[in-house]
Order: sequence, then C-alpha cells, then structure tokens
Amino acid sequence: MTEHAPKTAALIAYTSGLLSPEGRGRVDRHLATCEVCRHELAAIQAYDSLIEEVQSSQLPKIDFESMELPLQREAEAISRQMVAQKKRRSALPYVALAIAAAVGLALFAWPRLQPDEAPVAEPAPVEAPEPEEAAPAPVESPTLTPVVTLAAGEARRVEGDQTVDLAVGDALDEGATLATGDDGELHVRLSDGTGVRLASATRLSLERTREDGIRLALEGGSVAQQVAPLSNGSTFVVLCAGYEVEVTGTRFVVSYLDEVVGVDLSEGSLVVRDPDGGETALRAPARWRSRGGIDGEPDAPTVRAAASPRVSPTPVTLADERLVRWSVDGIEVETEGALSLGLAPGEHTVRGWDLRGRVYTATLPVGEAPVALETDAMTPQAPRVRAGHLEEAQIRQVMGRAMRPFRQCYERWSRNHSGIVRGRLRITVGMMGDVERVQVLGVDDDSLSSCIRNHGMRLNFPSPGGSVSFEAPLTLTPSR
Amino acid sequence: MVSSTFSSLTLATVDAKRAARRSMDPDAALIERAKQGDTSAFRQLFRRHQGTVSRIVYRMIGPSPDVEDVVQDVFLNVYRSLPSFRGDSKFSTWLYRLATNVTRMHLRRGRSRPKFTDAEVPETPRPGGPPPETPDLQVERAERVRALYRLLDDLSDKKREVLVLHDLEGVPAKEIAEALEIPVLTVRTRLFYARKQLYAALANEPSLEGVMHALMDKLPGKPKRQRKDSSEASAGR
Repeated sequence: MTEHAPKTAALIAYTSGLLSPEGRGRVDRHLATCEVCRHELAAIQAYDSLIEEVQSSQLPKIDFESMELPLQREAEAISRQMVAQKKRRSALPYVALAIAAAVGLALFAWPRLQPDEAPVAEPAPVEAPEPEEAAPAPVESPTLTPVVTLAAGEARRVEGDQTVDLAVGDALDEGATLATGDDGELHVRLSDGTGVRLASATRLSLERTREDGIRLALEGGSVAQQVAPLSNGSTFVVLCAGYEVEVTGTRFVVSYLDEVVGVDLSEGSLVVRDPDGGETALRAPARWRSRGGIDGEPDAPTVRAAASPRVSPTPVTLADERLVRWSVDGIEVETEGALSLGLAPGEHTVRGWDLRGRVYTATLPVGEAPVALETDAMTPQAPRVRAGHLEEAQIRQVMGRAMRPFRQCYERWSRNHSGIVRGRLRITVGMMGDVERVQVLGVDDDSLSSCIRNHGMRLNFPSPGGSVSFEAPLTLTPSR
Repeated sequence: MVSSTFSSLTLATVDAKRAARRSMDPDAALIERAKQGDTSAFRQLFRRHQGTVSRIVYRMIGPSPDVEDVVQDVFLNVYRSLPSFRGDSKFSTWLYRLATNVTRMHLRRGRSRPKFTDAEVPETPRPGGPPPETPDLQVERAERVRALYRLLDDLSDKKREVLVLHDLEGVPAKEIAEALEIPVLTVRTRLFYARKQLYAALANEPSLEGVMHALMDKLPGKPKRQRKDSSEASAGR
C-alpha cells in the first residue's frame, strides 16, 4: 500500500467530472495502485449518495399549526414592550431639552441677580419650556388579528365599491367590512379565541379589534359570537341600528332582520342599550327583540350548512362527548359541543381536544351525502415528548449494573457460539426513568439481541423529567 | 468638502442599492408591515419560511425533541430583530444568520450533556420522490441517515453550519458568507475540512461498511483483499 495522504481535492474534482481526460487518466492510474486514495474516493462517493438520501428524506412532522398562536401572542407582547420602550426613549430628548433649557435660563439669569441691585426676594422659579408632545401618548392596545376560518358560498370583504372574495386563512384588518350573500357563511376567529360567525345575507364591520376592546357594527343579517373570557377593562360591543349590545364573556346571536334588532343569548350575560339611553340586562338563556322585548328561551346558535353553487359543500356533523375543541383541516371551526358545517367532498383531517388538552384525530371521507362522524372514530394522538436530562455519570452507573445480566445473555449464547460481541445499545428513557425502548445495534444474532433487549427494558434510571435517548457501547468478551 | 461629497454619494448609492434589493424581495411588503407591529404580517412570514427554518434547525441539531422549541425561538428572534433589518441583504440570508445563531446558542447550552440521539428518525422518502422501498431497504437507509447525523454531531459548530447550509440546503457559498459574516474563502475552507473530516469518519462507520466495499469494488484497479480478524468476523455480527 502506498503510504501517503489522500489527494482529497483532486479526488473531489475527479468525482465531480472537473478533470481533463489526461488528468482523469492520471488519477485512474494512481487509484490502481493506491489503497488510501481508493478508500478516500469511496468515502467521497458514499458521502455524496448519503447527502442525497438525507435531502430526499422527509423531516419529522412539526406541528406548525399549534406553534402559530403562541408565537403571535409572544410577538404581540414583544410589540407592546417595544412600543413602551420607544415612548420612553422618545420622551428622553425632551427631558434632556427641558433640563438644558432650565440650566441655560439659570445661567442667563445669574448676572442679573448679582449685588448692587435691590435685594431680590427670591428668583422666580425657572420653568422649562413645554416640549411638544413631551408626555408619552397613550399606548395603543395591540390588535387581535381576525383570521377567516371558514368561507362558504358568497363571503367577501367590502372595500368601497369593490369586493374581494375571502378564503380560509385570510387575515383581516381592523375596520374591514365583511358581507355574505344569500348562500354564504363566514367564520372569523380573533387571536384571543373569540369566534364570530356571519350567517347568510349579513354585513358586519370589524370596527375595533384590540385587546382592550372589540366593537362590531352589524348593518344587516345575523351574527353569532362566542366571546373569549375578557380581561379586566376590556369590552366586547356589537352596534346595531342604534342599539348597543355589551357582553362579558358569553355566547350570543345578534340579528337585524326586517328592521328588528334581535339578541339570542345562550350563555353568560349582556346589556342591551337602546338609542334613548335605556338599558336591558339579559342573563342566559334569554331572547330579546327591539319590538316586543324579552321573550322566553332563545334559539341555540347553530352553524348552518351553507349550500353554495360554487363550493357545493356536504353537510357534516361532528360530535364527540370527550372533546371541547375542534379543528378541520388545520382550521379551528368551533369551540365545543356538536358541530355542523359544510365541507367540500374529499378527505378531511379532523382534530379534537379534550378538557386535558389531549389531541384526537380522524380522517373523515366526505362524499355528496350528509356525513356524521362515527362515535369513537377519533383516535388519541401520542402526546408530544419533552426533552429530559440525565447526567453522564448517572447513565454510566445504571449501565455498569446492567453489565451483569448482559454478560449472562452472552454466556448462554457462548454455549453454541464463539467470538467477541461488539455493538451499541440505543436506549430511550421515559419521563419517570423507566426504559421505553431498547435497540441493540450491530448484533445480528436474534436470540442474543433479544435477551439483551429484555434485560435492558428492565433497567431503571433516575427520573430525567422528560424523554432522553442515548447510545452506549456494548462489548462482551469471553471471561478468562 | 470633497470627502463629504464622496460620502454622500456613497450613501446615495448604498440607499439606491438597498431600495432596489427591497423592491425585488418578495417579502418586502410583509417585512414593512411586521416592522410596524402587524402580527398578521409576521404570521404570514412565519408560514412562508417555517419550512426552511425547521430544515436548517433539524439538520443542525439532529433528531431531537427540541427542534420545535428552537424553531419557535428563531422566529421570536426574527420578530425582535426585524426593526434592525435594513434590507442590506436578502431576507432569506438574514434568516439563515438568525437561524444559525439561535441554533448555535442552543447547542452551546446543551454541550455539557451526554450525547443523545432521538429514537425517531424520518424513514419515509419525500412525496414525489423515488418509488417506495422494501421495509429492509427503508431500515438500512434510515440507519445510514442516522449515521450521518451522528457524524455531523462530531463536527465543530462552524464546520457544521457551513456544511448544512451548502451541502444539505444548497445555499451558495457567497450567500453563506453574507449570512455568517465571514469571507467566501473561509466558507470554502470550512466546507472542505468539514467534508474531509466526514469522509474519514464515514470510512470507519459500521453501518456504511457494505456501501464502502461495494463502492470500492467499482473503482478502477484491483481491490486489495481485506484482512479480517477471523475471531471477530465470526462473532455474532
């Protein structure tokens, strides 16, 4: 074997086809006699094919959907901090200016206050000039971005004389006016969890969508709301034909049909203020009309399965007693209870959450006939595993104790076989320190690897507080 | 006077270049809105770039339950740092820089821990890729992919960053230089030494032994016969 360092750069050029025919011939001749360079070239080619394999392999599924909302909340918190810092910083120059002006005026006044003048009682306090906008303006409350979660039939955003068709996932600006046609339905969710559903032939303006207050103006039609619990000082108001419906965490429908304002309250409480200043307090369940006043039990706000000539959705009913929150194809469509909605024919991914936050999933095939999700069709999803931590010394200690049973496996195997066993153990330890998985790598004999695996599964580690995987070398040699 | 004219001209040129780059960047409008605190624009930026960032993070830290947390951290850093993004470079280049910085910090924090590998490694080929393999081939392929991640773990952070961005993500050396704020020559040098280290490690990787032998057999010239310890060769392997 020729003892020399491999010509890596030349070999890379050779593999990439960058060498001239003469250069290629020289490398070919060299390779015929040099084991080191042959080995290096094989490694280069193995690396190239491995890189291709890694590039073409799919990454593990990352739950971006559940990452979005917390990320947006964090971003809003950062925004608030940044706005506050900016205000503080912008006030600083004015403060400095005020101090400088005060010092300047004091210096200017000083010679005039010297002796031989009539005694002066007290110099008048120097007032700093009032800087413009010295006081920081009140910080605008962060927006709760409304996002379309369901758009069926004719569902549009109105911009002056023009209209823009809405699609699921569209983010809406504060002040947007939304309209649905006779066959339309539109669901909008705000980033605090509040849901707003526009029934057909409805027109609604999102006048204000801030953390400290939400104000919607209903011009016609019917709108159902599921209001998230409001924080201190924040309000949720629906304006309609001079009436004002103010809510404190509730589920209700406001409608304006045939010039009658109606409120159907199915959960919580609210106050209706009329244009003359009169107030009517309602506690669920209650129904109120601008003509006729309070009136018995309300109709439950249900989502109508819209029949659109463009989308042709199929009526679908989802119900599972365990679940309190639903999502269809990654879009949250309702917060609890049974859900009726229209879905386009095809396969849809349905997810649901129970009270403890466990996720259940199902694939729902939808054809042209109405579909109801079968009872217990939702299967629980494995919970997300958090990373734990084990010190190397802790691993060594437990693995040291485990060598005795592993050796017994080896000695049993040695009755019919001979040789040294070299391999690796890949062990996954669960949150409480119990072993969840053992892989015996590099040992081909099934009986031996199965014996080692069985003993490995019985190991107990200190609790790592999450999932931990590690690899440990395994060498078993005949005893002397 | 001359110098001030020169500097104002230089500044004007820089501004013009920046403006031209901004107008070409498809993310420009979203970035401007996100800078003003529009979190929905930020959400859209997240949706557009979540794939790239998660790939970089995954390939830098390997199969780990921390991937999601690091990806989330990258985007929070993006949001925090957006006001300082002036459009001197492409948004994607700037994103590479943030992703590598955040991942590097994560790796440094975990450096004192023993080496862990997560049991779950993707074993399925990407949709639209080659036809499905038999289960045996899938297991072998997954083992090779795992081996590469183990070997990547042995590279220094500087070498790994360059190698992941160039060889796995296909980012040109010039853009990597811009993202990592190092000369292009340094990128090429790091890349060369990273690959060289991996070639040496691959040659000794047990899971690639078969692949290496098959490749060597195909090379020009006669392969030399491998010397094997007969006792080890017969031992349970």
